[in-house]
Amino acid sequence: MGNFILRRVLYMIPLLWIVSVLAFLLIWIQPGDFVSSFKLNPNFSKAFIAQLEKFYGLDQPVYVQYALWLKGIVCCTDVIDEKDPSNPVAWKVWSVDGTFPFVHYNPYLGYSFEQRLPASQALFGINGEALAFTLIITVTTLFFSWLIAIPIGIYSATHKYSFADHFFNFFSFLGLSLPNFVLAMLFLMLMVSVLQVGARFGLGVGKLLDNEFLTACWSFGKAAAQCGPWWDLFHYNWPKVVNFLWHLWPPVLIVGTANIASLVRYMRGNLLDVLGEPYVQTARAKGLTERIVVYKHAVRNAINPLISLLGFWIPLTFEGILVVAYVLDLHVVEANFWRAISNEDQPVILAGLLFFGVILLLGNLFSDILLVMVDPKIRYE
Amino acid sequence: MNERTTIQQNKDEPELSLRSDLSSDRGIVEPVSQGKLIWRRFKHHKLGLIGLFVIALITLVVLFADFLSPYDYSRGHKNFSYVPPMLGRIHLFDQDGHFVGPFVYGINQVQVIDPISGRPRPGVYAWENDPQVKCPIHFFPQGEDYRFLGLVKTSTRLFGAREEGRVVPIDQLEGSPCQLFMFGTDKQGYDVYSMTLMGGRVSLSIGPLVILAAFFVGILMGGISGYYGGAVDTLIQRIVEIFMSLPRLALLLALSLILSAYKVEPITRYWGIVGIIALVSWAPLARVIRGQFLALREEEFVTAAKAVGTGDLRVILRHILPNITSYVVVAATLTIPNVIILESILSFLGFGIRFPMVSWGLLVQAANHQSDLQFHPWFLIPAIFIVLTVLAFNFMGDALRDAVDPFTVTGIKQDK
Repeated sequence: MGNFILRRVLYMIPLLWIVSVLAFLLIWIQPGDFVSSFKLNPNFSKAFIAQLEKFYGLDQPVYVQYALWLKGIVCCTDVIDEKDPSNPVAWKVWSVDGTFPFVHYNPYLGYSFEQRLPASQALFGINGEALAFTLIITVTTLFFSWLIAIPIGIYSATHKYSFADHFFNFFSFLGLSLPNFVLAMLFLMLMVSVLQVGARFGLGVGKLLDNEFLTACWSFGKAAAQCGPWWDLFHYNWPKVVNFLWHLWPPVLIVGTANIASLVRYMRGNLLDVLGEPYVQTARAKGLTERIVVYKHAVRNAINPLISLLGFWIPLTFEGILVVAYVLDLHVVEANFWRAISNEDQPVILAGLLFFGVILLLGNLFSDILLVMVDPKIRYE
Repeated sequence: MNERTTIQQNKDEPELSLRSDLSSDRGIVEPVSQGKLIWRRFKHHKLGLIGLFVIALITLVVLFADFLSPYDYSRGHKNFSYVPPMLGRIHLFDQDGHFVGPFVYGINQVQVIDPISGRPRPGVYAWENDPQVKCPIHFFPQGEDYRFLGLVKTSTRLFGAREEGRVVPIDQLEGSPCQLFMFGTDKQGYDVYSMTLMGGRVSLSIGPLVILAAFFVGILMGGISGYYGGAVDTLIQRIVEIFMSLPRLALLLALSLILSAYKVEPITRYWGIVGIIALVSWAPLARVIRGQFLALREEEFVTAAKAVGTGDLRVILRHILPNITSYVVVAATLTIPNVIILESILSFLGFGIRFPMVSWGLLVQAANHQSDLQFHPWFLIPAIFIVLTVLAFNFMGDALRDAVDPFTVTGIKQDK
C-alpha cells in the first residue's frame, strides 16, 4: 500500500513538470511581457528596467526564463539586498506595502506588477484568505452533493419507474442543463427581487462577507487592536463566522446542484447494473432482507466507480466556483485568477494555471488512493 | 461526457418491431437496416422525440434569424433604451372588443413619479402604451437591409409594427412610436429578440464544429493508438493523459488571451474559439475510441480482412470505423450540450464571442448586475434558450444511446 502511494506520487512529478512547461509556454507565446509596460513609465529608469529584465531573465532564451521561474518555486530565489543604494527609490514609493519586488518568498511564483504584490498573494489573498475560502467551498460542495445525491440515486434505482424516480430523473436532467451562471443569476433574482432579503431582513446577497466584516478579525488577540491566530476558537469573532456561513450556502447550493444532477444519474445507473448481478439474486434467495441486500451487497459495489470519478469532480467544482464567483462576487482564488486573466497579469495567470493543475493531479491521486482502500478488487502491486 | 444514465429498455421491444415485418402481406422478410432499427427504438422514447423536435425548431429559427427578426440585431435605437418585452403587449381585439388582428400601441417614455415625495425621480423612466397611436403588426413589411441566408440582399422581414394611417419611410422608423421589441431592449436600444435569434447562430453552430474538429483528432489519435498498440499506443496515451491533467476552464481562459492579444476579425475569433474548445475536449474522446478499437481489432472480421491483404488504412476506415459509427454519433450528441455550455460560460465571462458577433452567453452577461436583474429581468431571456437547447440535446442523446445499444444498461462506459 505504502509502496503504491509512493509510486503514484512519484508518477505525478513528470506530469506536473509537463503541465508547468505547457503553462509557461502558453504565457510565453503571448506578445509582450510584464516589464514591457514599464518602459513607457517615466518613473522607471532604464537601469532599473534592465535590472528587472536581468532578474527575470527576460533578455535570455525561454528555457532560461523557465528555469529561473522553476527555481523560484522549488528552491529559492536570489536575494537582492533591499538596502542596496543602486535600487531605484521610485520603486518603494510605487509598491503598495513598501516591499521590494525582489524580496523572495518561497515558493516564489513571480511578482504581480498589476497588483503590486507577489503573485502568490495576488492569487491566494494577502493572508491566504482566498485560498481558505476556495477550499472551504470546494470541500463543503463535495460533501453536500454526495450527501444529497447518493440517497436519491439509491432511492431512484430501488424504486425504478416510480413517480419519484421520474421526478428525480427529470430534475437531474434539468440540473445538468442549467449552466452555473444562469442558476446563480436566478438565485440572485430570487433573493433581490422576489424575497427582497436586503430590504426586509437586512441580509446581504453575494460576496462572502458583508462590508462591515471585511476587515474584522477572525479571532481576537490579547491586545485590542491585534488579531489572534485563526485556530484560536476561544476568542473567535462569532458574528463574522455567522455572516460567513450565511454567504457560504448559496455558492455551495449552486455549484452543488450540477454535481448532484450528474451524481444521481451515475449512482442510479451503477446501482441498477449491480442489482441485476447474479450475486444479488443469490443474496435475496438466501432470504436476506431487502435492506441488507441493497445496502450491504449492492450499494457497496455500486459506489466504487463514483470514487474513481472523484478526482474528475474536483476540477469540475473549481470550474463551477469560478463562474459562480464571477456572478456573486466571491473573493476566492478562482475570482483572482479571472481578474488576472482580464488584466493580463501574466505571473498570476501562470501561478493560477499551475495551482489548478496541481489541484487536478492531487484530486486524481486522492481518488486513486481512496479507491484502492475501498475496493479490494483493485490490485496495486 | 460526464453523464451516464440508465433508461431501461423494454427487452422485447426490438422483437415486437421485427414481427411487423414478418407479417408483411408479401410474406417475405424484408431486410431492416440498422438505421431503421435505431429509429424505431428511438421513436419509443418520448422525451427524445421532444428533444429532436425542439432542436429542429430552434435550428430552423436561427437559420432564418434575420428574416424572423424585425430589426437589425447590430443596430441600437438610442431613443428606446430599456423597453420591457412587448410580447405581452400584443393585442388582438380593440377597446370595443372587435377583432382587428394583432396590433400594439405606440410606446411613450414617461418619468417615474416617486410615490413618497410625489416628484419625478431623476433618471428613472418607464414605458407606457399610448392609446392614441395604434400600430398594426404587418406581415412581410420592408425593414432594414440584410442578406437572406447570407446570400440574397433583401429588406423584407417576417413582421414588424407600423403606424396606422401613416407611411413612415424606412430610414425614419427609428423616430416612430410604433416599435415591436418582443423581448425588450437594452441600454442602447438593441433589440433583445433579434440579438437572441442571431446569437443562436453562434451558440448552436459552435457545438457541431467543435465536435467535428475534436472527433477528427480524437478518432485519429484513438484509432491509431488502439489499432497499432505497442509503443505508439503508450506514447499517445501519455499525451492524452497530459491533456486530461490540464485544468479545462483555466486553460480555455488563458488560451483566449492569445486570441485577444492578436486583434483579429470577429469571424477569425469565432474560429479561434472553436479551435481552443476542441483543443480541450478531444482527449477524453480519444481515450474512449481507443478502447473501442482495442476490442474490435481482435474480432474475426478484422483478422479476415487482414488475411486477404487489406491495407491498414482500409481496415481502419472501412471495417472498424463503421462499427463504431453509432457509438461516435451518440458520444457526439452528448458532447454538444457540454460544448454549448462551455462556449456560453466563456462568452459570459467576457473571453468568448465579442460584439459585433453575439452569442447567448454574451447576451446573458448584460444581466450580470444586481440592479439589471432587478429592473431589467428580460436580459435573462437568452438564458432560457441556452437551457432549452442543452436540455433538448441531453434528452435526445440519452434516447439515442438507448436506441443504438439496447443491451447495455448504462450506456457509454467511460473508463477513467
